[in-house]
Amino acid sequence: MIIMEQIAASRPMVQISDVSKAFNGISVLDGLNLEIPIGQKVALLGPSGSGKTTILRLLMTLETIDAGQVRIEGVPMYEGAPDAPCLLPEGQIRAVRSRIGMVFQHFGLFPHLNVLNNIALPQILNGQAGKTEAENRAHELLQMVGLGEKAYLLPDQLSGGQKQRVAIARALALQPDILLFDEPTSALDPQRVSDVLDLLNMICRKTGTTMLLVTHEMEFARQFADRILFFDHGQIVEDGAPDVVFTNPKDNRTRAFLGLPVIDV
Amino acid sequence: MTELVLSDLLRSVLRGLEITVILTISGSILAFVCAFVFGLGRVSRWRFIRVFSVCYIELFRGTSVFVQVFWLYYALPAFGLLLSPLLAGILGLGLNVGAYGAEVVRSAVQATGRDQYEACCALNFTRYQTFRYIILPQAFPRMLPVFGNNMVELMKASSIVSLISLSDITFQAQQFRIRTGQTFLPFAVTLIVYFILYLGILFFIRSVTRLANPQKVKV
Ligand SMILES: Nc1ncnc2c1ncn2[C@@H]1O[C@H](COP(=O)(O)OP(=O)(O)O)[C@@H](O)[C@H]1O
Ligand SMILES: [Mg+2]
Repeated sequence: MIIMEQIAASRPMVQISDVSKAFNGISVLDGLNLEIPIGQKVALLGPSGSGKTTILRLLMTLETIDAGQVRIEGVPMYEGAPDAPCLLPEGQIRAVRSRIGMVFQHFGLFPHLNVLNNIALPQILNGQAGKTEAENRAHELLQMVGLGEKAYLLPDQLSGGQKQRVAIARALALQPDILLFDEPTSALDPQRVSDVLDLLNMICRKTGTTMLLVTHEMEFARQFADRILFFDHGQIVEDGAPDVVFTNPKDNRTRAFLGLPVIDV
Repeated sequence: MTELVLSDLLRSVLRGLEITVILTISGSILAFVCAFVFGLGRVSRWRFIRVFSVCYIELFRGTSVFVQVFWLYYALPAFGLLLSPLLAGILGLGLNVGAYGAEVVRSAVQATGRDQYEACCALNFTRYQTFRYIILPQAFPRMLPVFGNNMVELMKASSIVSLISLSDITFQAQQFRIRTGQTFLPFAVTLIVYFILYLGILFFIRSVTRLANPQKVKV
């Protein structure tokens, strides 16, 4: 029994194995392998079009893969042969999906619901809480992200940074084990960027959630992440701790991206 | 003009009005149901349902409502299906306007951005929950103005049922003209009554719109 538990504990939270994905015949990911241990905070960097968003979207099951397998703490998302994987049927995939939350680049808030209901409704529909409990929790989360007074406004009445925080609160309300962020700072004023950083760090301290974050901001990535992945053409060209990746990357593409002198081989 | 003539006119108009109102309300209810069933069928995951919905929509939009009502009343009996004039009228009007409504439902549902569907997926909603709580509440207010127009069209088209021996307002006005030789009076009254019905529909749609739209701020 003890051995079994140890095996379970050592399972990575996310395991992407030999995953390929093409759009209209153009390959975006080609045999990608990536493991993320429980509780790790990973920042994905890389030029635009390199497939960063695609990785988040396929973890969220918004895209399906063409080949390979994706496991969430050992539980596979696909069935069938590895070269022709098929997403699990709706009932089964929902159990896996419930462990993952995503904050979209453009937030995806529900414009017809006020801020409070944006956060309360998902809890109710997922059977996690009754109406009163869900609303109380929504109030608490709004307090936490500094929007206690905005509960009864509609999303359109908020600024970009406020919408961002509502979207984070909404994702947190479902208590996912994995949180995905697609460029959480791209729609914000530079002054607001450190607010988001503080918020994410606070969430990590409180919940130990595994986080996967796509960003263009080097400084943000350096301060946020335990681990930096640098992407180019759907491949991981650099993988390491922020200090190492930012000061002495081994791949010339990373060096070029960071503005460091290119090493001759 | 005698009092007798006036009370005759009043009685005729009221009897005709009853038929016109029954046709408009029942036809609109049927059209509403068809609009949703086939408008959503049009974007169904199942090919068979999509094809069936397209066939219904294009068949009823592509042929005239006159012919459709005639078919239901005069041609169906040849296949052993005998409908009363009222039922044939309601079916013809409802199915015809429902086909237009189906396109309204489809486009309103499709006008909801992909980001909304993706947010629902990320929040682990079922398909039904997504539709019921997120898509429909956003799409329904978009449908209402066009539904209003469709209902008005249905009300106006309802005068064709006099051709299958239903005595609606237009038919009653005709009869009155033949009986009394008066032309101005019956058709002036008919005009006014149709216009009042039109205002009634406008008022109804306005009220529903107010109910369907979320209160902006609820402090
Ligand atoms: N739904 C889609 N249809 C077609 N091509 C897509 C789609 N999504 C992404 N792509 C393509 O895949 C590549 C990677 O996109 P993406 O993952 O969004 O990159 P990144 O987030 O790193 O900028 C791009 O070339 C993009 O054009
Ligand atoms: Mg992207």
